[in-house]
Amino acid sequence: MSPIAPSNERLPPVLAEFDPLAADRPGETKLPWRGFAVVAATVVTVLGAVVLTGWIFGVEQLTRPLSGTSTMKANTALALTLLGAAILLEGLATARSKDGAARRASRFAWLVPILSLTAAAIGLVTVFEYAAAVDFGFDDLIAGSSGAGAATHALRPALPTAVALILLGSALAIDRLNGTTAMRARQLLAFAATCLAYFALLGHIFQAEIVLGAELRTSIALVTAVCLLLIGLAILCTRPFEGWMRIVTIENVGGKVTRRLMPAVALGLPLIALGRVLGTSAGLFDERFGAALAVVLVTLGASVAVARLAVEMNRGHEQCDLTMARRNQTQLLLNGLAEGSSAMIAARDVHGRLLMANGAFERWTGSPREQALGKTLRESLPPELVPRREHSFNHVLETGETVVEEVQVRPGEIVPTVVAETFPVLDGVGRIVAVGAIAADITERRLHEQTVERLNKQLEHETTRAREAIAELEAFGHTVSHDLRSPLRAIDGFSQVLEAEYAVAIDQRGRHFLDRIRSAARDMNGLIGDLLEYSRVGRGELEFTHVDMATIARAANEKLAYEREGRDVRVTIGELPPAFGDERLLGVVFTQLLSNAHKYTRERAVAEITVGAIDPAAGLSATYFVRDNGVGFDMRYSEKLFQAFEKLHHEGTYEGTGVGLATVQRVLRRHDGCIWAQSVPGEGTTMYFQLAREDQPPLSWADHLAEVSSMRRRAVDSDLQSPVAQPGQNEFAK
Amino acid sequence: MDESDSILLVEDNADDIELAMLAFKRHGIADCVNVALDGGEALDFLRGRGRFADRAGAPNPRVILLDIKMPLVNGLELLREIKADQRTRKIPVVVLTSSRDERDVETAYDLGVNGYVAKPAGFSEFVDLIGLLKRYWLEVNESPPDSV
Repeated sequence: MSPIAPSNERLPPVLAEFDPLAADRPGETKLPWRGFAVVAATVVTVLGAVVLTGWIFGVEQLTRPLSGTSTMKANTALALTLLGAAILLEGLATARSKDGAARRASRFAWLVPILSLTAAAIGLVTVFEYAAAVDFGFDDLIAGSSGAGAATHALRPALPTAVALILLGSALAIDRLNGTTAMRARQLLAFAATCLAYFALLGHIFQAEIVLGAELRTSIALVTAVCLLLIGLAILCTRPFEGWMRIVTIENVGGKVTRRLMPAVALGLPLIALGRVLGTSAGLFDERFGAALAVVLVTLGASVAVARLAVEMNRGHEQCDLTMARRNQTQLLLNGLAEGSSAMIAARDVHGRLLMANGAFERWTGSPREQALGKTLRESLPPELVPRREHSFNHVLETGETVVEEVQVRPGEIVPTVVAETFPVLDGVGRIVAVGAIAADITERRLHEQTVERLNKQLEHETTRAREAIAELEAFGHTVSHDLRSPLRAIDGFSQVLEAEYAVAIDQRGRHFLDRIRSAARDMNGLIGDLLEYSRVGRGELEFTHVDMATIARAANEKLAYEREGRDVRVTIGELPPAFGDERLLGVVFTQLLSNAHKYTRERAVAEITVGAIDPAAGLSATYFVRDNGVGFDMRYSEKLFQAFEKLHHEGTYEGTGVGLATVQRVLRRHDGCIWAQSVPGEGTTMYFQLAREDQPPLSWADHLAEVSSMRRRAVDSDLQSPVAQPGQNEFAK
Repeated sequence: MDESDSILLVEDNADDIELAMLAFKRHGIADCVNVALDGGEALDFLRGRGRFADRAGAPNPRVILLDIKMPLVNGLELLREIKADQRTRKIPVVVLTSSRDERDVETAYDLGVNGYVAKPAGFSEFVDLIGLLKRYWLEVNESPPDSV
């Protein structure tokens, strides 16, 4: 498999310059600027086309859409149609959704400047005709001489109309040029034309007569004025978020105020003026009163507007103050976090130049922050750190992934070591604008780990040695026990042969000694057997299973049938809850305890032996016992009970090796259990034992070793606690 | 056929040898037994070398009774030698030892032993055991063709 499978290939992250003002930049209004432009342009195009049709086919009614007003001239109508079409085409071509219509329109985008420049040219020729006082017959091209007006220049567009057409045509043609200056120029031209049309419109409303001379047509037809106004506004609205238009369209206090005040002024002031004119002419008040009234109304309107402006600005300020306060608080917190942390924190732009660093950075690099800011990795870090940091830095930029690594500040030396996290800092749209790094000093921890590691090794070594020593000791004991058996067999064998083959030569006393020799050999054989058993229960792993304690107790009892020959022994095996342990070793426990019970009841006419559990319902944590009515023992000596080779009875009274109970204790210890005894001399003995619960993990070999080296003690239920079980008094109750 | 070579007892302990001989004697087969004091001697016996040069070419014993704990070449090493040698590997070998060590038992069977018997502690039991071995290996069991 190739290291980079195509399907897994990640796109490299997008990098961007870090721009601290990006977050503060206000957005754009969602008002339908372009929609207005399209509607206005459509209205003008349709109107122009209608008028043009009227001229071509001589339908006079169509040339003046408002009856009683002057006609829209043919050339004006043509120019307006061209401009309207150009605006529509441009709007379609620059539409955001690139559907079929938009794609087709963008193929004809080159038509926009041609259309608009043609309109400008019409205006230019007209102005030239006025200026040079010539007539090229240009004005009659469409309408023909059969036109309605017989007067000179009756068909020529008015001079302001021609000027407006030049301004609008050039403005639209500028669209092909890019840049803020070009856009401002375009908007300036369109705005000038709009003002001109606005002026003409007001002239119509106030019915003002401006006559500069018979040769000069200065009056723009009402419909033409409206159309020019619409085209001017449409051009301004086609690129609403560029150039000067940002002032109006931006989503901030200024934009809001502009959007409200401008229409209010443009509509309000003419209304006041119109009121004054109408009032005066109707004789409601005289000129002076009209002027005063107008001033009062304008002042009132201006006051209201200024007050609104003030409220708006105050609200903006408050908003701003609140934002600033929140930002300050966040800034304060972030600063506090960065400065208060012992970890070094730094951020760099995508070129590696340091943007910020905290006090810890200063302490680690040893150079003042002010000097390091703006410096690259190479310039601001100790040289030995540069390769590692550059590698991580580049990895973050290439993959966008966070890198966490341990860095030895001085290569090859543990002291000091830091754990460094290098991560991408993203802007609102997921571009990487900076790379952050946080590095914490973990030298202390590293040193601790080293110590722990060393101690662990030491411990491991010592455990191995202890294990070897114990295994050696076990093997030694095993071998010794075996080797002891060989001479024993010889003693037994030869004494038997002596007895059998030389019976005649040996007298009564000799035979007695021979008996003693053979009896001693038998005892020694038993001792060796017990020692081997003791050795065996300490070796090897335990096989934990669920054990039916009643069954193994009965099996152990049956093995002891020979003990009951010629005696009256009553063995009762009660209810025994099952246990979790090694079945063979638990069998040894019962065999040993029952064997002892048989042995120490030998003098009783009726021996009573009971096997049971104190709390059968306790399940795995039950306490088992083996009780007899035998000779018992003095509790003062109970400590010696479980020590190998310690016996509480005189040699000869009760045969036994003293290893049996030690073996039992060993088995129980390996089960994490315990054993204790309660006895009254002459009345009997009860041996209690407990096993580990199932939820406690069984002793592993290592645990066993640990247990051998240090005896842990375990408290026993207080109601069962015999003097033997009291801590400090005995060695087995753990 | 020379009956005296029927059993090879490999045993280093003088006491054990004497007791074993007493037991063999009680079963009337003392004459059938040859004793090797260690592994080397046993190999000499089987290959007709050294002290047993006169046995060169003689048939194999019908059974070898082998102690494990011996000086120099111990019983298990000897067992390995016997079972590795084409000429001797068919001879039935019974380990007769005081060791009940599970590892010894396992190793012996791994090496191809034909029986593993632990020596009882008492002499009378030992005599009974020898009787059993005699009955099985010399009377019941069919020996390999090149045996005595």
